[in-house]
Amino acid sequence: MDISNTLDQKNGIKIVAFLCNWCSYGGADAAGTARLKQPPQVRIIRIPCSGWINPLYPLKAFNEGADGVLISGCHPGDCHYAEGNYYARRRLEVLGHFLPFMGIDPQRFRYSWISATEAQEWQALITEFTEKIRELGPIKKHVEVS
Amino acid sequence: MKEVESRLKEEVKKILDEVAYVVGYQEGLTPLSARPLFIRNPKEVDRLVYNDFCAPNLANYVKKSDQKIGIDQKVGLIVKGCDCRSVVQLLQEGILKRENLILIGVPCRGMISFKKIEKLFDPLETYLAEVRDKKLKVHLAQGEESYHLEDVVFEKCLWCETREPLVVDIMIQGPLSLELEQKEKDFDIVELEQKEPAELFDFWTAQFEKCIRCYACRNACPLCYCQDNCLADTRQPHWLGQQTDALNNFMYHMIRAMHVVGRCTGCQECERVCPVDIPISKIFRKTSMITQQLFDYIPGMKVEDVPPLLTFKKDEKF
Repeated sequence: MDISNTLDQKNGIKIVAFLCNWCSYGGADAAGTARLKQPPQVRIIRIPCSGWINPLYPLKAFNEGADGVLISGCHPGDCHYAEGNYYARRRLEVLGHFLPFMGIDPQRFRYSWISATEAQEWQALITEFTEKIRELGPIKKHVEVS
Repeated sequence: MKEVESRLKEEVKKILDEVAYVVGYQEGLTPLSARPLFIRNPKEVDRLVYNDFCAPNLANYVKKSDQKIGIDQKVGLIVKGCDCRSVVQLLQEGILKRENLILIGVPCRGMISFKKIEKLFDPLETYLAEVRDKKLKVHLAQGEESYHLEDVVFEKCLWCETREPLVVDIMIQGPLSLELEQKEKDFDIVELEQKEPAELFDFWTAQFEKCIRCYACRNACPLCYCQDNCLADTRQPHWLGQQTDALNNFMYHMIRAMHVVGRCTGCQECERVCPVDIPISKIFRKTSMITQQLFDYIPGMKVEDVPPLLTFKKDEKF
């Protein structure tokens, strides 16, 4: 996936959001249907379950120049596949602790639980997260030599 | 240590009929290094050595041995305390089978780091070396020299908590300490953590720029056994490019980190084999610190344990 070729250079930042098909994606969709205003810097990637998230996805996104990564799934206990998000919770928690050690501001990474009906919560979360990333500014990227 | 060596040879001779081979150490290019030795017949036992320079983790040489030599045959393995943790982890993951292993535990009082020695003198010009009276005595062409052990012993040995192997069939008793001043575990990481993320970013960029992606760290790691399925070798999906710049090298080391998190037993083979001196083990020790802090779990201690990222508790809060 190439996110370096950004749609809105003028906004300066890009955020990648991995949303679970069964809840958060529905939540974001519901927010759109309800015409709730959402920041345009977010690229949403639909995933089958938060438990499907490989911690390397957010790392790869940061590596490719994403300024913020948000992962959202069903509330613990409500997983469509019964227990996917329990595994996700542990992995993402470890990743969150690990990022600052590798030089990535932990504020750029967040995981949350949003259900399909929580359009308002989704809007509040993504607006606040985008605002935070805008404050932090573009991420420092490793130099590519080609 | 000479006594340990001779008793080790006896024990190896005894089990040689039962096993396909025994993995041990033989003298390396210099008296200050050791390399693996595969013993198949009694004659080869004479080449076996055990001294203060036997740093390699032999657990790496028996993983997947089941497939190679057939299920019925056994393999003998000489393990130090830290290597044994790798074996326990491999047993836990089902890569090794306990019934196919004969583990000979050897006492370890801390091993001497070849990398540290290289900085002090030329090991290739050494024809004799021994540890005596808290000093490393070496005979060089220009005469005898001695060095403080603190300067030449692996850092990990200064905070070692498992000097005696945890799971063994035959244990050879011997000295377990060089009586050096112990260091606090992972003090260097705690120091590094004090820095801001931006500073750490620059630190790691400088380190990863050196990396030539020789994959020695991956190949030396007892727990990196994906082999043909390694993500670092795939081009589809394109996890990383072939250029060895900081960008791609960062991703490579992250792949390793995320695959070994919660499993790394801290043998630090990755760092030992690195030809460009990247402190790679810091990454893995940090992941181990996180899993210990979050899940109160130390890898490679019990065969019955489940790695923390392969399980969960419903009501845990972070």
